[in-house]
Formats: sequence, C-alpha cells, structure tokens
Amino acid sequence: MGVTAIVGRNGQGKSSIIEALSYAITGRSFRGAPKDSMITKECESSIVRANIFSNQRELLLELSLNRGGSDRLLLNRNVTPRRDVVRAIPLTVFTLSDIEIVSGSPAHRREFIDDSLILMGPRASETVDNYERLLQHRSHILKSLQRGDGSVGYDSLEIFDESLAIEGERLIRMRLSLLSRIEPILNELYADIAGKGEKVLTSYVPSVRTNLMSDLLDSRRDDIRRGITSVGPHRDDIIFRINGLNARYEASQGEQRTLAFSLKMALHELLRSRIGEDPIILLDDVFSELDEERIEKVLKRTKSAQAIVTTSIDHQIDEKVNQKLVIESGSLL
Amino acid sequence: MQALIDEFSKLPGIGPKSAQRISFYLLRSEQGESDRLAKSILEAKRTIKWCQRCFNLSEEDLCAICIDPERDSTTICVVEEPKDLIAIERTREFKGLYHVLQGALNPIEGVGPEQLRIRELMARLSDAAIDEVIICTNPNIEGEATSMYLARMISPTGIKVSRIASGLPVGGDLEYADELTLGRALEGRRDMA
Repeated sequence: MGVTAIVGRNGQGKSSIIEALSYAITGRSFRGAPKDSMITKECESSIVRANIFSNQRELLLELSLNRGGSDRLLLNRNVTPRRDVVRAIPLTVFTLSDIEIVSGSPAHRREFIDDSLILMGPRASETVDNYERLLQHRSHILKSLQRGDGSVGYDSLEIFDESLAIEGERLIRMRLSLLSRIEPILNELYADIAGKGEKVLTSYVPSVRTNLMSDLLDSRRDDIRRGITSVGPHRDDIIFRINGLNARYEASQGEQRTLAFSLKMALHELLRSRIGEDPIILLDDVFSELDEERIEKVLKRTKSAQAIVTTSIDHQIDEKVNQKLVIESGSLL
Repeated sequence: MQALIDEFSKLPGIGPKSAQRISFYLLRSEQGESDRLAKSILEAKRTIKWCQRCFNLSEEDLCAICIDPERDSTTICVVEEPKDLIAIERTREFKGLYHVLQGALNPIEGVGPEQLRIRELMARLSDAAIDEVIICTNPNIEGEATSMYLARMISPTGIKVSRIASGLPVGGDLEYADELTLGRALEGRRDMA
C-alpha cells in the first residue's frame, strides 16, 4: 500500500513505466498511442512482465506484443481473455487528457461510461461488447443493401435490428443505473476537492425518441442511404452541470479538470465498495496542472490504495509519498 | 520450402511460427510419414462430401445418421457445424436427425440466410413429417440471431420449435459458476410444481 512517486525530467521515461503496466492490464495505451509505438524500432516484439498484488492475491501478468501478429496475454502463466484480466486487476488511471471527458466530444463521455461498465461485472461487460458487435453487423448489412449485391439483405436487417434494440436498451439502462450510483459520490468528491459547496448534476441525453426498435425502423431508409446507424446508445451523450451550468461549455479549465478527476475518483470509490479493495491507481503527470492544495487532497484520497504517480516536480511531493524513485534516460537510479 | 510454410500458415489456428516448425518437422521426418499425411488429405478430400439431406460430413450421398432406421425421423436438431453434431452425438441423449447449417448468420463476414443451408431445411420440413425442430446454435450473438431467424421461418408451419437451454455444468458447484452462466441459468429456470 502507499504512494510510489516516479520522479524525473521530461523525456526520461517516467510515463513509459506506468503506460506499460496499464497497457498490460487494459490492452491499450492511455495516450491513445497505437500498438506499434509500444515496440522498439527494428524490434519484432515487446514484453511486459508484472508482479501485481491485487484483490488480496499475488498475480503474474505477462503480455507480449508482436508487430503484425497476435498478442499473448498470460495471467499466472495461463492464456487469459482480456476482459477477465481487466476485471481481475481493477485499475484507475488519471492522465492530463482526462479533461476531455468533460470538455471533449460525446464520444469521450461514452467511452468513460462504457469502460466503467466493463469493470462492473461480466453481464455489463458482455452487454458493451455485444452492442458494439451488433452495430458492426448492422453496418455491414446497411452497406450490403446500399450496394444492392444481396448477400445479406432485409431479412438479416430484421433479425439484427431486433437484437440491437434489445441489447441497446439494456446498455442504456446499465449506463443510467451506473450514473445514478456515481452521482452522489461525485458530488461529495467535487465539493471536497474544489473546496466549494457546488452541486454537480449528471443527465443522460438519449438519441432514442420513443423506443429503440421503432426508431431503428423509422431511420432505416436514411440509415441505408448513409451506411450508418443513426440512433442508439452509441449516439447518446451525458451532460454534467455545475450549479446548473453545462460544464462542457461553461466551466473553467480548472473546474473541468477537477470535475474529470472527481468522476474518475467516484468510479474508483464505487469499485472499491464493490470489490472490497482499492483498485490500483496510476497518476500520470497530473500534478503539473493542479495547485498545491489540490495535490494534497488528491494524494490524501489515494493513501489507502497502491498508487504510482509520475511527476517532474520533485519538491511538491517529497513529504507526501511513501517511496520515491528517480528515473533518468530510461533507467531507475 | 517457403511455399510449404505459406500453405500451412493459411490453416486455422496456425501462425507463421507454427507453420515453420511443422514444415521443418516434415522435412526431417521419414519419407513414409509425409506420404501418409499427403495421402490422407487427398483421400479425405476425394471421398468425404456433404450428406445430401442433413449436410453433415459423409462418405456416401446420405450420412450414417440419415440412413439409420433406428433414429426418430420426426425430430430434427439444427446445428452450425459438423463438430457441434459430434458433440451432441456424444451425449447419446438425442435419437432424432440433424441438420447442419454450415455456419451462422454473420453479416460482418458476409454470411446471410442464403449462404446457410436454411432453404434445404425448409424443404425438409415441408416434405417429411416433422414434429419438432430443436435449435442448437451457439449461445453467442450470431448463434442467437440465427435461432431467431429460424424460429420466425418455422413458426408459420405449425411445427414445434425449441431452443437448447443454457445453464450450469454438471458436477460443478454453484459458487464456482461464472456470473454469466449462473445468470442465464436463473433466466431459464424451470417450473417444478
């Protein structure tokens, strides 16, 4: 338990360490970097091996990424599906780009809520995956109808629309239920970190007008022409309001950053009450954008967990962390 | 040599490294071994075809199950692939006939109803006296969609359509069942009154 700080100047490889760890667990980069950039130039593969203490168990996680080939993910030396690893090693990652959950396009908010659902259990995780796959099926059907080559036609559309509607309605229900559980925790955290008694409200903005099945039917002709599905949870949005004002457009950058952090932290607390232990916390360089008082509050919140933070600002954290590692030119000193 | 490796790496489940290993193994093995392998492949390709009624693998026009007079010809079990048929045969619980769809609806891969043996199934249902069709497609998105499609096609004929249940493995403890399986088993619970 406790906070480990990885300290170093820019470009020394601080973030690479926690990016490797987070990539091994989640299967993607928190910077959105492509897989090939995880592999050294002129090399064919890269390997991450991590001894992880999570959920009262010691786990050995091994990932080998292969250029142009399929990857290998082993948990305690057994090949393990990605989704099982994600749930076995709960992880909360904070990065500077988190602000986009508040300030960015709706896609960022959907990604946040769906990634959170995946951690909530296999049923929710299956729903997220199923909906994604059904959307792909539908888009292939729409394109086939558009070309009129007839391999998959209206009879397939009928069937897959029905599945899509069922799975889509279920996904919306799960997102709503998760939001309603996040909201009270979010309020408490935001008030604490922002230091003001401001009220945060979340509201879900559906693209569905009546119900998903009849909307799919109504938009069918247009959808075929455009080759995309124009209605469903993949077109929904979430609005965060601070004291009644839409945080995406009307909050300051500082407020947006604090709100994004509180959101991630709220999910973290929710996961803790679900699994009875803090998820592992990774904080990538987030201190550069927070003032001293907020850093203090953030670190206080992470005290009970295993946390790894990277920072280039050495002096700010000395007193507050349990362990400090200095990194230079890619190696620990 | 490269040609051989390329051919192997086209096979399902075999990557470039395994293809290389197999190729080197064959080169180093006795002549007889690779002759037997080549002969078995040619022989299988030449003699094994699809059963004309159920589209299972068969050496004759009709497969061993379709011509067996002991089988109950009023019940048809619909599966995706011959390997599913083999799995159900191993249970020894099913005495009826089969119909192999040779896949499941999968628009991503361009598979619609026309690419499956559905028309042939409907023809069988209208020709012979069938009482029940049991749909045993996989419990995934594509298998479920296929079963919905079949149910919709078959219902108007008045023939009973059922779907295989999903539930708990036998001999296991409830506490070790994964949440998905347990959830499905609850959904598909049975009335005991």
